[in-house]
Amino acid sequence: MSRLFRVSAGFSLLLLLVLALPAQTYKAIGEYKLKGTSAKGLVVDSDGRRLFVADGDGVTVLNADTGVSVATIGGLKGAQDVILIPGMSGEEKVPPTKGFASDETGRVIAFSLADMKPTATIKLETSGPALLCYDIDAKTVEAVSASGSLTTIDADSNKVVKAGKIVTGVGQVACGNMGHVYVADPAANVVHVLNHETMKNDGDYPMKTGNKPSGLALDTKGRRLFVSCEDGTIEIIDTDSGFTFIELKGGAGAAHETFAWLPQGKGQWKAAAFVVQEDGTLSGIRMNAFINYSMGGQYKLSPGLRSVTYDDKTHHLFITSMNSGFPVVLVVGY
Amino acid sequence: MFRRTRIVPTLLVAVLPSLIASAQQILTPAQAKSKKILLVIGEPEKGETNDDGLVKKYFENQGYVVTMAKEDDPATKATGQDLVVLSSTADPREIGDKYADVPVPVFTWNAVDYPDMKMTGPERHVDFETIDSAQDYARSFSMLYGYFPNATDPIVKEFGGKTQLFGTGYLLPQNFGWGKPSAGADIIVNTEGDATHAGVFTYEKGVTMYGGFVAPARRVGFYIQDSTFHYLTEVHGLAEKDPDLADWWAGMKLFDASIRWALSQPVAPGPYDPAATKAALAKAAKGKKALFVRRLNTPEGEESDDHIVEHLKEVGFIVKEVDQTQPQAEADGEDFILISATNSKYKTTNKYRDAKIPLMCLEGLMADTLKMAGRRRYVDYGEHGEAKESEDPPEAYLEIVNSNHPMAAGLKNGYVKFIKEADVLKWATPPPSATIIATLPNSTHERAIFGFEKGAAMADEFVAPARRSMFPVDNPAFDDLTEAGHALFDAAVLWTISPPTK
Repeated sequence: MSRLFRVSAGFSLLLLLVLALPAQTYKAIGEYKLKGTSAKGLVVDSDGRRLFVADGDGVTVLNADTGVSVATIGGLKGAQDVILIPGMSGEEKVPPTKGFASDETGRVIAFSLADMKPTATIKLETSGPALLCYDIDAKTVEAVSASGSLTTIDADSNKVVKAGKIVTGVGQVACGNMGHVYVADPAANVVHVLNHETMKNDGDYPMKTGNKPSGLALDTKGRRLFVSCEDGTIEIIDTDSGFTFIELKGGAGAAHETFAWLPQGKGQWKAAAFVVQEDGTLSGIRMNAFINYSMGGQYKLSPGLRSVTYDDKTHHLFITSMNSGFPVVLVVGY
Repeated sequence: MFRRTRIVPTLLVAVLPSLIASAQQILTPAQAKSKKILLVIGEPEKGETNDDGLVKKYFENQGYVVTMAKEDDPATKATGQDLVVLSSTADPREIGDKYADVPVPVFTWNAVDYPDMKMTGPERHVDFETIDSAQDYARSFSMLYGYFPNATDPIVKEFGGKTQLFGTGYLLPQNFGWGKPSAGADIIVNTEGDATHAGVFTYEKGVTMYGGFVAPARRVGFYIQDSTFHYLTEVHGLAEKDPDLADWWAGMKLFDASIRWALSQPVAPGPYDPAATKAALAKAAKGKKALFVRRLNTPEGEESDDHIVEHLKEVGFIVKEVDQTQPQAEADGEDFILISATNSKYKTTNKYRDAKIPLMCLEGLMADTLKMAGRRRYVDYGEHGEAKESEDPPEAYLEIVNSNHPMAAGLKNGYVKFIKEADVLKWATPPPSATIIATLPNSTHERAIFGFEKGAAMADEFVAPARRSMFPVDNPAFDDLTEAGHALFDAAVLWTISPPTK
């Protein structure tokens, strides 16, 4: 047997083994009940094992492993979204020490993870529900009001750096790529590309075939934007050109997304965007290469899925949902 | 008064094709709405997908009325349609040549069917080819990059494309097809760095296609394949505001403009009327200054050159004659340069190549110094009938391949007796940005009459500073031109001195 043949045979065997690995099947493995009547945005502090859920008039803090409520952060009315600010020690990420949350009246609070108390309140340019994203390069929190404004907040000082009225949308927001804030606008069927340095719209990304984009996730390294539409189309956009180069089929209804590297640990998916939709579908968009993505799997959970976040310690997903009219957090694993 | 009313319509008839050809109007998206398209597709293999559905949806979003047809449907389904679109999913053996002679424009990306459509020769890998991204992995990256050889082409002008590389498909290896069309075609995009590998090419209605077949309506070959339509590039957001990026990602604009070109009114050929052509030339030439570059005191061809001068003066040019060795500065202040075949290429050197005024050359061997062709003698340019220099016999005929063009003088496609007795005829093979009017018979790559629009990329990417044309009047052949030959001469001069398309 030639060396070339042995190498080829060995490689083929390895490939067969990899292909033979069972596909990851995500399923609900737990459910945390919430008080109140709604549950919207959520985020997990993987190091501190705490789960932050925007619900009612504040942020409910749960033990991420048991679902036991450990604190409530007040100061909001109709909480909409919550994010944590990753701490940095030089180039290394360290556990977060603060977070921001928004509500439906155009208010944003900063809070401390040490005592779970608000440390600042910021009034946005316009009232109405606002969503948040963190620009890790600029170290700013971007607050996008569905009523039509963008506010840039210095994540360290909690001060407003810039603010202005601008056309937005009611869909998810994402940022962290060259000063841009991406805003899904189902009504206009586009993703707005806002520039938080100039406070201007740098142009819109129209949907290729999808209708009513509402979910967004951004891979800041590959500069890919994953856009989920309410009609079930998922478009993957190269943000350098604004071009949709892949379309996949998702679930139906309003969508929310999160992006994660190595979502099942080493040797499995390189990265994935997870999409949850109103009809109860969880879609895992698998990265095969920066220019190649496929539907890694689709899993039927209960209807009423709202928001999703990824826990990089357990590789679980936490999803807010309405279960028989009551808000819950689903714990989803494989 | 009576005379004038008779002359004016005649002149208009003669000039009209020139004006139409210059305009080459393409329907706007609004004008193209409601046009009827027959989309001919095949059955996808089990477990395979293709972009036919996306194409249909795209057409419908543009406002076209789409009717679907299967590969084995009769060609009569094309009756009443404004355009037939042949997808590569349709089995080329099933569709065969049934759409070749339909008098409806055809837009096809079924490259294997190009030969049956008479758009290329029959040999796979020679006349056309399909590249498979699995089997031809490295070559399949070529689909990412197209090259516009002629930004003055109406399709490229429609979206402001430039003579340069551009990103056709998105950043993945992709299947594609190319064809090597006949001389009457216009190559809109070439690929793989090979000027003869046409990714996108067109035939105007009435031009000669492969094997002498005359295009019954417009034809377009386009290089996508079954599942690559969705990779045609677009640009949105910030990148759209950067002219370099916007020019680069032009795949979808190209597709859209090509479809609308196919749907637009074809250019109508003018009538063959030598007197009207001469009259139109006289109208255009009146008062214009022509520089005639010749070999003064030449041992041969002097009488013929004198007669060329007389003819130029007769139609109204103010003629200045200079020797081949005189400096290019002699062209300053002139409107037109005519280079005689009595000149020695060796002595004329590279002069007049970059002159910013129209130029017509009668000496095919100068094709390389004037950037009208490559530099390989008897490969890129040559001659028929020159003792010891050519293996081809003397010739008296040309083959018209583009009767629609004003330089064709209204002559129909096919053989035309050009000079009274068989003699030396020069030729060149210009780059694809040239418009070919006539070839030498039985040698379709040996182009006898051709022109470059101002701004077109000539050989070595040299951008034409003004209109350029080649016309094979070897010395002393001017006196031997037939009536048709004279008409062609006048038509070529007229086109060359006419304003370029904007």
